Amino acid sequence: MSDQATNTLQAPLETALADTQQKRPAFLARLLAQPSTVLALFWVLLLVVVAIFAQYVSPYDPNASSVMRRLQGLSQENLLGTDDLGRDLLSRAMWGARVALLAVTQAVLPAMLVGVPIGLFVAYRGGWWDRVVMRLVEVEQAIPMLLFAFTFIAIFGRGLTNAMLAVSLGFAMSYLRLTRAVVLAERPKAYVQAAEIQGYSTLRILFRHILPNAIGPIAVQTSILAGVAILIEAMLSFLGLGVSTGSPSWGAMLDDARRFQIQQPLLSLVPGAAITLTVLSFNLLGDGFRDAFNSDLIIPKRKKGSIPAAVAPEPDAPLTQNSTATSDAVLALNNVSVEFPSYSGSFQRVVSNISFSIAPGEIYGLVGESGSGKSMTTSAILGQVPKPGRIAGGSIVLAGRQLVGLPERQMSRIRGREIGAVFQDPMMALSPVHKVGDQMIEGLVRHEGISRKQALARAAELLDLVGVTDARNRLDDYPHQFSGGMAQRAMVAAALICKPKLLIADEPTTALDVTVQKQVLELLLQLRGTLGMSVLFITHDLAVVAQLCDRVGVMKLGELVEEGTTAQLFANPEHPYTRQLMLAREMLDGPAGKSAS
Amino acid sequence: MWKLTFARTIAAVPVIILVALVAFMLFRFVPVQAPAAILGDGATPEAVARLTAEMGLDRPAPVLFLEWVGNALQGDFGRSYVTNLEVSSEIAHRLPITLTLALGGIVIAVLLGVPTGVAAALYRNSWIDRALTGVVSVLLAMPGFWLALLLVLAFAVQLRWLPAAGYTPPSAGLWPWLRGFILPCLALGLGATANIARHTRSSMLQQLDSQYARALTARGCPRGRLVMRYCLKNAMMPVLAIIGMLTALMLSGSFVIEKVFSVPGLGSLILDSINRGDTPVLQAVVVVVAVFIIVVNLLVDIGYGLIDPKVRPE
Repeated sequence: MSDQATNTLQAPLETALADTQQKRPAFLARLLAQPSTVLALFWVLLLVVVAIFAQYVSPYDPNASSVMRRLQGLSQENLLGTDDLGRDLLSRAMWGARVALLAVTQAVLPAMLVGVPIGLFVAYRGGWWDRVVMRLVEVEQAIPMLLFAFTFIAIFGRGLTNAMLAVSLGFAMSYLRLTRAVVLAERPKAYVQAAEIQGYSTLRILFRHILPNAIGPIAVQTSILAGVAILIEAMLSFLGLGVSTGSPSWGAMLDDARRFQIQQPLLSLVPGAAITLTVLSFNLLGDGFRDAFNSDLIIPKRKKGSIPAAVAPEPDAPLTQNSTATSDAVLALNNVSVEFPSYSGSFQRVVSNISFSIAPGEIYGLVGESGSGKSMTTSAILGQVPKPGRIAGGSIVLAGRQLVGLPERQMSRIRGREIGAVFQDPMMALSPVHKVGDQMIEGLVRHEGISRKQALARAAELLDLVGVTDARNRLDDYPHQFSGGMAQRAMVAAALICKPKLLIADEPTTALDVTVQKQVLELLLQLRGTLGMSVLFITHDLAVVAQLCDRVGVMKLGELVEEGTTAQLFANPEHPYTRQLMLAREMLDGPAGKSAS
Repeated sequence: MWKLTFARTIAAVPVIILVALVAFMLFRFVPVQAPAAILGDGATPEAVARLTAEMGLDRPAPVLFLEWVGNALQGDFGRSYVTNLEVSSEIAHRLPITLTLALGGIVIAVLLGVPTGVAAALYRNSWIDRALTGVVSVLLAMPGFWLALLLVLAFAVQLRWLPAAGYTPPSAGLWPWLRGFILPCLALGLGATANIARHTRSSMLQQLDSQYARALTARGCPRGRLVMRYCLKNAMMPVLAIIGMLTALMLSGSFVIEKVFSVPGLGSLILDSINRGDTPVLQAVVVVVAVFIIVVNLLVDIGYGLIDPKVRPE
């Protein structure tokens, strides 16, 4: 809509993002900025080195037994003690690292080499290929991995390689699924279609264009599967189905520990800790990869004390010029600001110094493009600014009562009773697995302390008032049994159930069909007439404003740039942005006000 | 509800038949064939051939399969090649022990995991959340059988509260029987607990941030009621699938834990059979495990029906 004409004007949230993008460090730097990931990486690298050079770094031959020195504790000669045959535990653990990493390689590498290309292929081809292969994958994944390994070993005989072959087959399935999902997500995108039009070969498109998008998820998956492989190797060796008897494997060491740990707990602690640390490291690496790939999601840790406490409202703050606050206003905002921490740790204002007021029975429209801060303003009024955002200052007065800084307990007594709220998408605003009637009365039951039965009777009355037929029976329906329009009517009814002084309607018609939009708007006008409440109406649609509102405020970049009666504003828009907004509107739909559909 | 249950049960039948077929086919290829296994290493080829004929194993595979399925349907899985005991009675003795362990494990996991996940979500990014998430990460990385060894060291060896190993039949009394299961079930269940807690946390966070949670709060619904009545039920939908998956894993996990505690469940039977090439036992166990997994999936489907009104037929 108006976004196209005004795309040069950036919303505060977007500028905040652009801001973070410049400071966004490269992938490796992001990875290394996470202490747990660095530790995990260090441990895994250490393990790789030890595994490769086990014969040089281990203090003893892992199989050199010494009956004289059996079940020793920590000592100079045997740093981590000895087992029941007098073998050095540290040396065995080091050689065990070799077995563990060998198992990881045997399980992960073939799986990746088989699973990824097949996943690319079936997802790109689709049709029967896809259906048949996915059916097979589902059957295989329904069988527990350990049982699958058992079967393999029963058929092909004992041994680490046979066991890991079974595991590898299972892993291949999960690589296949993952790659397939990425391809399905990427395929409809423009760059793939462009490559197709260019006439590139399927192979080239798959490997050169689509595969790079899968590398992040594959890296995460590989790290996690490596941990799983180690756990399964340990389990099989513990059961005597993995490495041959006597070989140093962490799992086999735990089998020895089973019999002798009562005499020497180190027997179980050393290999157990080795397994746990290694698996934990692989899991942490996976998490680290994920976070580093989706770096936008990282919210930096705030330094203690670096944030000043939210400013308390100044009692005699001067009213700004365009504020028409009067003492009998239902709602009066004065210099309200809302801010969020940005990547660098400083705070970014998404609403700044907003002031306006709403008289009894008045419908006040707040317009602006998406991201201009109008919805955040409603969140501020309702005391619902999502963390880590906060109200940075100003005052919000509802019928003579200051809302900024009010404790949550008291705020929860105001929500629903003195302020009702209707949001954009009625289907999202209802829990899909609870009855509509029950969801309507939650606030009422609490605020007025009446029985659920009485509350449901009131809900039925209101549903009837907003034009839902067969209201009493529909209370027992679930949201999916409602149409969008009916659901929004129900949400309006729920918002009005305690007869609030103020109704906040945050883009209540945006998600609805045009004909239904009109019905909901007419309903609001009619209800204002019968119930006499004030309405704060948030929208980006000027036609709706012209039709519905008594007064209008225009928001841009978190600021209120212009305010006036609807007639004034449409006849003589003063601020350049308001004019731009109306121009854009006229370009798309014809003159505002006349085009009201 | 009954209609749904019935439909799902019927749909499971072909899957069971398929699994039975696969189980049968697989073990046809076992290199250590039964007669050789029975006669031992020194057997002459002539002796092996004679025994193969005697056991009727030289008949065509489809005949053998139909015969096996026909007997299996009547609860007869043949006799063990090694012990010559009836496979079905052997399984009937051991299955209840393994099932008790598996169910005990998953019950512990749900009872501990769900509240842990909810608590972590409610106190997100606080020290409570960080501590719980840390414990969960470590538990996820610990092999269950090592946890079992540690539990034995702590509660059996040091504190002497619970037995370190062994199985007491229920005929010896409820408490002695139950006592023996506490450590194995904990060892089996704590890993799953971590898994459930992790998924519950992320699912719960999603629900707490949802539009309907915001709308209910805006209508004055108290936080406690919002969490316990609305968010929890929604959050359980994805967690239910995880619980089903973990329950299916409990059976094979129990095979390993049984070894630590010397519990005479299915685990030792399977290990012995793998080592000796005891095909009839392995075939039967595969079918039993498959049926268990199918029943678990059925229960998960029914669970979805209970939670989600869209799945429930009118």
